[in-house]
Formats: sequence, C-alpha cells, structure tokens
Amino acid sequence: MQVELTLGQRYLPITDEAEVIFLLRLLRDSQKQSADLALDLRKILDRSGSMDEPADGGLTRIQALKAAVNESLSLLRQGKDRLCIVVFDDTMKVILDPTIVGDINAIKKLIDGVRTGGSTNLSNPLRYTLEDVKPMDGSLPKIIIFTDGNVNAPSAAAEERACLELARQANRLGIPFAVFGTGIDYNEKFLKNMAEVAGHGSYFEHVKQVGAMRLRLEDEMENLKSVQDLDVRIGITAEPVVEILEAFKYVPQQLALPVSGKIVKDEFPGLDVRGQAYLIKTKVHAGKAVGDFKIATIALSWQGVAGAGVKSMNVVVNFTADEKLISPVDKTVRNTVLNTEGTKATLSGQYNRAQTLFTTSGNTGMAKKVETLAKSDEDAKRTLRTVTVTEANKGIIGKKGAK
Amino acid sequence: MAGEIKCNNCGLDNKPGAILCEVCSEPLEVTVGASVPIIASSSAAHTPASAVGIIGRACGLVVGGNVIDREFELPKDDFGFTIGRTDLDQGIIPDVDLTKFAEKVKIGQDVGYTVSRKQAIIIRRMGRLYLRAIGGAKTMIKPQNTDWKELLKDQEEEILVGSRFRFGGSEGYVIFEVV
Repeated sequence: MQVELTLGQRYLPITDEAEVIFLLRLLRDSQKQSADLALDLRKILDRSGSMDEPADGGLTRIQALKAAVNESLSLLRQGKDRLCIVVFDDTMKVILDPTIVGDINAIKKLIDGVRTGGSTNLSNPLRYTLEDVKPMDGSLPKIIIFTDGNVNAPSAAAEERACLELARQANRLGIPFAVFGTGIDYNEKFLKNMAEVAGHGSYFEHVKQVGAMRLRLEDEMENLKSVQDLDVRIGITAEPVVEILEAFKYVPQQLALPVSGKIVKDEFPGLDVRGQAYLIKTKVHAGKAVGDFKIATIALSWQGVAGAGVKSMNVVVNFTADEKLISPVDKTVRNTVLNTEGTKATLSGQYNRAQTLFTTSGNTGMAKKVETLAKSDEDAKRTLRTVTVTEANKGIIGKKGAK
Repeated sequence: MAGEIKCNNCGLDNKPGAILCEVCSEPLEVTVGASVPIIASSSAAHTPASAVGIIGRACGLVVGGNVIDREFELPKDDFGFTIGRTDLDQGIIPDVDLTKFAEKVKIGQDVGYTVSRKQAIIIRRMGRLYLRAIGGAKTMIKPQNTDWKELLKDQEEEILVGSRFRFGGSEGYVIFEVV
C-alpha cells in the first residue's frame, strides 16, 4: 500500500490559532498483484407490483433489471465466485441458494422466471442473507439491494426499524451493502441511512435508468476483484492542543466520519483500484509556537497478500517568522475542501452555492451538472445527489467511482 | 496578526491556513500552489515527477496530421477529468465533451456510438499525467516516437508532450496531441 500525505500548508506564520487541513491518500501498490479472493455476492431484488412500471428502452423495470443482472453474470468467475439471489415483495423467495457459479445459463433461466407481486418487505430477505447464508472462507462478501419502493409491509415504521437493526448487524459482521433505488417512490433518506449504518464501504446510489444497473454491477465486481490489501484500518489521533473539526472519506462516496474526542477511525474490507482518501480539518491552538509542530498521528494496519502491514506517520507543520517560507495553500487540498463543501451544498439543496464552489475549484463539469440537473424533476435531483457524492472528488482517488 | 486572511464577503479576519471563511463559509482568496506530498511506501523508491519527461499543458486538435487548435487544457492539479459523450438522461456530462465527434454505428443488431459516454479519463498522479480507458469504445494512444496502440478498458498510459490519442472508430474519429 502506498500512503501519501498532503498538507494544506507546510509552513505557516507564527500564530495563536491556525487551521491545518490535510489530505491522506491510500493507493494500491502498482508492483503487487490483487488478493484474488472469491466474490460472495448476495443479491436482493425487488419484484413488488411497481416493478411493472415502464423503464427505459420500452421495458418494464423488472424486465430491465433482469436483463442487467443477466448481462453482468459473465463477470463472475466460474468455480470460484459465489452467488445468491433473493427476490422480494411482501414475501421473499430464494431463487438461487448460495452457489459457486457454474452454469450461467441455468442462473439466467431462474432470473428470467421472476414474476412481480405485492408490496415491499425488505427485512426478511435481508435477514436471510445475513443470518442464513453461511460465511465463505477467504471471500469478499457484499449484499446488493435493488428496490423501487418504500418498505411498507407490515408497516413502514416497523419495517424501517427492522432493516436498520439488520444494517447494524451487517456492520458487526463486516458485510457491506450496495443499495440501489430507482424512481421517486422509495425513501431516499432511509436507504442512504441504511448504507451508512452498515458501514465498511457501503453506499447508496439512485439509478435513473434501470438498464444502467448492468454497468453498476460490473463496476462493483471489477472493483472487488481489484482488491489488494484487506481489512484496512485507520486511526487519526490529534495532539492535545489540536481539535479535529471535520473528517471525510471519499470512496465509494463522500462521507462525513464521526469524530470521537480527538480520534477519527475508519475501516473497510479491502483497498481496490480506486484507493481511499481522507480529508481532515483541524484547529491548532499553537500558542505562538515556533518551528516544527506535531498535529496528529496516523496509524494504519492491513492484511496484505504477503502478511500483515502496519504503518505510522506523524502530521507535522512548521510555524515560522520568515514570511518568505510561508507555503502557498496546496491546490489539491484547497480544491478538495471546495468540492466537499460543494457536495454538502448540493445535498442540502443550495444549488447556487454548490455551483459557485465547484466553479471556484475548477470543477466546471460538476458545476454544469448541478446547473443542468437541479432545474429538472425529482428523479434528476436524486441522480444529481448520487453523482455529486460519488464524483465531485473523483480526482483525488485512483479511479472514478462506480457508475 | 500575521497570516490572517480577510474574507472578501464578510470582512472577517480568518486564521492562517483557512480555506473557507469561518463565519460566512465563502471561499477565501489565498495564494495557491502545489506542494510535494509526503510519501510513505513500502514499495520501491518513488521517482520524482521532475525526473520523467516533459508534462504537457494542453491538448491540440489534430487534422491532417497537424495540430490546428488548442482544444482543451490538461489538469494542473490532481483533479482528473473525463472524456466522452454527453447523456443527460443518465446525468453524464464529461469534462471534455466529444459528442460532436461521435457517430452512430451498427454493432451487431444494436446501434452504438464511436465514442462512449465515459470513454477515458485523464488523471494526474504524483505529478505525472495518465490517460486511462474506461469505456467500451476504442481508445488509441501514440506515445511520442512509437506506434499507435489500443488502450483496453482500465489500462492506462502516461502522457507527455508529443503523445497523441485517438477516440472513435474507422467510421469517425478525433485525434489530439499533447502540446
């Protein structure tokens, strides 16, 4: 693993208080092979009545979803990867028990046979994939959920509570979610929350065209196959006179990390081709100190192909009276701050502010997307929120996020 | 106090190191530059960017073998950008829009385009620039003094002054040269 630390400013003027911002990037080691672990995909697919509504390309949503799932099967490695598929409306049906992939055509027939039904109960299939599917040694598990409606059976409130409890269980087990929603009837806040609670690199995405699920599923599989270092854990501990104001991570999406006292922690199952990036904003009570000044300690651990890895780094700035030494603000750090704020502004509906921030950072593509999509309907706004959290900071990671 | 940064919007004097105003959250006008990241790596020694060839500033459009226009600027920081074709239905607006060069072609029974919605991405990493193919349509690259070669999906190649890249198929394509 390659670790890269970029300070907003290395040399600062002598001061009582300063703001120190730093960007930490983790990248795969280009000299090393991937861990080449088996994938353990557990797909939970909505077949409720609303999946009969028209989607793109003259198909219904269920037809487009079946086509997308079928087309993505070819990326699974026969004899190696494991697949389980559960469909649900107010009841659940296991159409493929956890199975090492063999005959792809037989799986396609099972998917083709799915028919739409009643209302939406997600907790039962989720419980099945968490509790009844036995772990597979030496694999990367992922639960992939696709839905177009509010969970509502037996009631919305009880079902949401049950699903969030299962997301907490997934968090304890270290099994991440990839949650996809389409249309405008599902509860976006709930699905997003469920992904956040599950943690370990879980994410939620709005899908405007159901057919585009093929690309998302393929990206998901390619990313998992590229995983190099496993069980990555990171801890950032601030020095006594330093406060951590905010912390963000960016893969698979921008996410604010909780700050517990002077510590920020994160963990994820594996470092894939996208790498990982963290932005940490601190307030330093420097008390007019002069010279090198330690801000924080970064501790990293992971399981590599060749064994366990551990790394520790100090974050150090320098307070100087020599004005000529004062560093300019690092452009990448500044732009990451602006894009992060732009994303926050987009999520809270402050589109003008978002456009200004993206334009100031030179991210004209994202500013254009905000301008175009914010004027459109709710479906487009949901797309915009997904695009922004996934792509606004794409430049600081190894590869653009799943799309 | 030395190093404080006045906000042009609300007038507040912000602390050294600040990027957004503490009160009104507007971006502050600060001197911007590129710093050298601190690398901690267990792999082979990192080669500094300055040791590798000349990095281009822009891509010129090539017609009839000659560069005729400065078509787009290359990224000066670590924010890479996408090259492809606009599809508003999917919220895809690439940073370098090749829609005007994309032509419809028949692929088996289906109709496709000579340029993918997300064809390639130019990224800056450790001070170097790379072109990476991310779409299904053909991306060709010709590093200076060598032959054209195809970049397969997820393959990347470093780009320097003189590198050329071509997007599209034989039915219609566009070539850029790094200048």
